[in-house]
Amino acid sequence: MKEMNQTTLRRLISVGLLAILIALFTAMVGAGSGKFLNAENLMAIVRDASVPGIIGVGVTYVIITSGIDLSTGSMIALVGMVMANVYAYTLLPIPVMILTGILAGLLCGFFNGFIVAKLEIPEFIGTLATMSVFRALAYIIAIKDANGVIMSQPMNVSQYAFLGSTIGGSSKGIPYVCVALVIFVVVGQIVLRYTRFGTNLYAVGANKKAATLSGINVERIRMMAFVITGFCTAVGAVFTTARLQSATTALGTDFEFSPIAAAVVGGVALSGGSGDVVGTLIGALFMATLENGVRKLDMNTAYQYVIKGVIIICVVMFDAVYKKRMDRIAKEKGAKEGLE
Amino acid sequence: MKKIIATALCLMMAGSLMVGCGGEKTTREDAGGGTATAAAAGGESNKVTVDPYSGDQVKIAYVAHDLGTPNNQGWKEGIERECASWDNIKVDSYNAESSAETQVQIMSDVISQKYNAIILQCSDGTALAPSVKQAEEAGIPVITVNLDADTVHSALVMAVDYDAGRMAAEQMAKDIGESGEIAIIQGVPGLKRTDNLEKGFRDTIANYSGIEIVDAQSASFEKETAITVMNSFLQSHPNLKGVFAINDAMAEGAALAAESAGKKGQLSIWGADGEKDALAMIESGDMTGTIYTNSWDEGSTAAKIALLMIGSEYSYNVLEKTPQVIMEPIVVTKDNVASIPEEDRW
Repeated sequence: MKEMNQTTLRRLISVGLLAILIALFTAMVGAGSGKFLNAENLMAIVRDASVPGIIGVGVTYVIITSGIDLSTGSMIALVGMVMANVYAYTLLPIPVMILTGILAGLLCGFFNGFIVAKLEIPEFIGTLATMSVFRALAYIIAIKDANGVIMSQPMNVSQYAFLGSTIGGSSKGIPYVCVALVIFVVVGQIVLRYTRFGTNLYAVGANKKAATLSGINVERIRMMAFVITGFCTAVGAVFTTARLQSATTALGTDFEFSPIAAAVVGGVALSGGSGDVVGTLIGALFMATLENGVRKLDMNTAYQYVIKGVIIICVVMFDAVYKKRMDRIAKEKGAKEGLE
Repeated sequence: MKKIIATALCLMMAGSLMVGCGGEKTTREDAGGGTATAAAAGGESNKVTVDPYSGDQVKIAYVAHDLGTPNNQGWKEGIERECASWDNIKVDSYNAESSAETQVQIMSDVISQKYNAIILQCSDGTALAPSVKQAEEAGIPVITVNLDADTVHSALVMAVDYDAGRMAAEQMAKDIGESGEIAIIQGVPGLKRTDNLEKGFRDTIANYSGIEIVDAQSASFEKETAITVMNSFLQSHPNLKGVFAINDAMAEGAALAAESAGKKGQLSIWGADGEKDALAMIESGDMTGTIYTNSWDEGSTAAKIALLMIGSEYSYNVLEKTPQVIMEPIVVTKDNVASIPEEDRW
């Protein structure tokens, strides 16, 4: 019961910070101008948060087990390229093409899980290595012209491109990717909170040895977290390439930190064992709001980066102070109970 | 069970790879129409015209690929200079940080903010095509700079690409006496401009039977990476006589690497763009030459076209292909580098 109250409090704080950020930008951009606070722009923010949010579901699982996945950006490129190959060289129907892409993502995730959990290579180095490997594979299978120069492959048939647009196709509709985001977050949160697998993720993250001793197959849990990340990343890649109506080897460059940042800002501790998917969703929305709002401030780009950096530091610092306080309260309580 | 699934996944992947390597490219039929069909030619003009030269409030968005590069700064400066004399014209610059995904997000933002015109350097012409089309359909003229979009739009202002490669190849052939080993330092693959530059260079070199292109590696447009690439060229090909880098930053890196290998002035090192640092290195004899384009002029040309488009009732849907404005290239070597005045160096 007490633990529940704490998470509720943490959630309220996250939502509060997001609200403060929105209020701040509304005021700074000019409340009267309606440039920031309008339905169209808020929908654009949710849309921009969607791909990091979807991939963030998997990344949250990995971080909860105290791992990290740096390869998601390159994975987007590889999944995109696998689909581009099916698109360019076969006449297989679009759903089969998407399925092939998803399988590629699962395989990438499986590979990550294998080297991290089975071969016991530290996550940071292991996924840093696969980040290069996946990118390189994307280059190898890339579509090339007669001179061997890599080309961007258009994927613009409407049976596919509609995924990148909105329901009904009008610019004011709800983008499909946002619907996918909602599904992923709801399912991801339910799995995390109400299944044995979810509980095991926390157990592994909190203390691997204790988890092993209590009969949890730690290896399998960690592997599963990476496979799920692969799946989420593949879905993210489908929506990204559908929106761009094309695939290139440059897809997802520098993307890998977006879902990680979303998770951390949303209260998922990099040390593992805490946080949840809804937190990551709020984090993703926070980052997208920041990105969108700063762009509208009529400011030199260099200062935009400074503002972004300072706000992120403030949020994470706030989180650290909050955690310290919570730890102290817990300790004091423990001491009191010990005296009694 | 797990193993079976894993094997099946492997086979699927391998299958799709093989498909990618072997087959002929196929053409897909569009069943639904809608997103991919072009706007009907000759339709009603969708333009809302305002006159920027008679005091109407006008705002122009410049959406750059990477604002950190001298080229992008040069264009930005050119655009801002062009508009500086009018108080009613406002220019906002956006940085896509070298990512097509970010650029697409910025584009939809800029369209919903109802800018009067967009000057865009496409990170990826294919990926940006839907956004460019969306802007044009909303009545916002899009002027691309150097990197084209794969859809018909108001205008493309570009420095020569294929011909710049050709000119560099001809000059280098002359430098090295039409025989010997040379190498290419490539940019990020998949960009039309740089691919064309390389193609122009390769096609021209093919005319000289004595010259052999022994290596080609990417240095991602970056000076530091080019130093590493050049070092590996020098080690694996000790007889290397010339290097062509797709942009000046990489040519500068190659020149630095050649200098530290004790080969200053012995190699023919060519770049393309003509940025300030490269011109200085040509003056000092580190670099052999470059194909110079005036970026400030290019930026201000793009801005002029934007203002013209904003003020006219002319709409993109009468166009069959994108009109092009091509900037004059100048072959710069040590002999004529002094003729480029300080105020034209960006």
